[in-house]
Amino acid sequence: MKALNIASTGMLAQQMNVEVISNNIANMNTTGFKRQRVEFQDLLYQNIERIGAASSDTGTVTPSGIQVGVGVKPASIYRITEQGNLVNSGNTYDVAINGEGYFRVLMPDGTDTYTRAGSFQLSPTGQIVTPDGHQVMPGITVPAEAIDVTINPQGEVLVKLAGEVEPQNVGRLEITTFPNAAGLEALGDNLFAETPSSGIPTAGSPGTPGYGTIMQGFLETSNVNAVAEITSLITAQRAYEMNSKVISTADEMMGVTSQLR
Amino acid sequence: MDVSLYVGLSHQIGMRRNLEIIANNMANMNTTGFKKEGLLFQEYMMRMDGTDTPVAKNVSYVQDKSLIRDFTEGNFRQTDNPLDLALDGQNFFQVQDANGAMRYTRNGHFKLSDTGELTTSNGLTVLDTNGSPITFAIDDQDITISEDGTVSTQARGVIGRIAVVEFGALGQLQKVGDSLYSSPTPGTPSVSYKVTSGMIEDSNVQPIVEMTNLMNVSRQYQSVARILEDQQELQLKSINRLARVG
Repeated sequence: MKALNIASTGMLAQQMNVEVISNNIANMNTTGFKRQRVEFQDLLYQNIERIGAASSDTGTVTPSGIQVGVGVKPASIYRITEQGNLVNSGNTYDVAINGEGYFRVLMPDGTDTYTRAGSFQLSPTGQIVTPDGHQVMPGITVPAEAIDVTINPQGEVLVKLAGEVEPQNVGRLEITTFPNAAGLEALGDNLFAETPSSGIPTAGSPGTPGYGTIMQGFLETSNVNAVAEITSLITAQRAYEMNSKVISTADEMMGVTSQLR
Repeated sequence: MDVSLYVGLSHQIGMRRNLEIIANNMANMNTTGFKKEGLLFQEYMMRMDGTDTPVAKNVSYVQDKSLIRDFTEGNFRQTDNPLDLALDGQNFFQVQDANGAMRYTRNGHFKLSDTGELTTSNGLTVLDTNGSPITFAIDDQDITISEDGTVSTQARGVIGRIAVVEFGALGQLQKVGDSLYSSPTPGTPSVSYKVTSGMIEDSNVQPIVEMTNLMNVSRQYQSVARILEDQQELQLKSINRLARVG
């Protein structure tokens, strides 16, 4: 009975759907988190009666034959890169990107990763780092004697030192854009890596055309929409249930057959 | 030969295949661009005694003869991904696999390949109206796709126009899996269509209809099984009674 296998592929697919939705809901309050969606595709088809097969010796053909599909498979899980809400945190080193772009973060092994979670801090040496202590490029050091730090929309870090009137520019945050940001690979810890699908990163300055601006004292919340996720969850659960109904119907029909004498 | 058993059997075989079709529809309830299918049955007449007798003496079997595919539009769902495209009507995107074979799809969840080409999620090249791939430069940003399928970027302007085709006879299309169709005759460029960027087309499977069909199939299968049982009982009785006469 093929229907059993077909329905089980449906149940497996919906299970994955529920897993992705639960990850979205779990990360509802994760800074800079981008929600994900599963993309399904049908499996191959078996030709029982081929389309266009001759139906008589005068050359007429069947206009549409019989093709039975064998189920569904998850094709991809992709990220929806829509911007989340910006919320005021009042913290000096909390910066949000309003618009396109990612902060570049240097990992301890020398590779580049990218993030939109701008909840930065200072390292013991005064460098701007992520909460995990990775350096935010291009490596800006805030002097220990600074009394006030301002990051303007163009990403310039302005430091006011004690006894000086004019604030001092100690560097400019850099942001990176991708042709297809949805193709970035998630590494966990709010970090993303470049992939062939994302395209090659191009670095630029905040506030220039094509790049977002920096907002100091703000954080980007996740773009998870709780109502939408719960609705998807209900849909996925019902779809799972309906596929299980197909299994029980197939089972019932087999039962009927086996009871024939 | 007891024909009624075989007539019943032909019906049960048809119902089993119907169940497979319903199962596939249900499994693909959330598949992008999926079109639901149904079976068409037809009568198969057989003469009882092999001679030219009046119609009254014929027996009709049931045969699953062909498949109908419902090409109505599915619901559009917003994804906000610029490379997700939804297509209205009965139009198709034209894509090409690695062997150069033409495929058609309504699943507009596209991505960029490592060479910057616009591809399907399985890596098949999406073709433009001239039959060539749509290629982006590495520094292209802000990709926009307009309603007529014109692809443009901020830096380079118009890059190409995505080919949208239609078919005279949709029945000729054959599903090959992975949301793709093949066709014996190439599609002709569509006259009227609308490409919507940032949206994706859900499958047009209606769960309630499928559940009802499922119940129907199950009950019909059972009732035929009962007929078969009754038939057998009848035979058993007639054998016993006839034996008593002798």
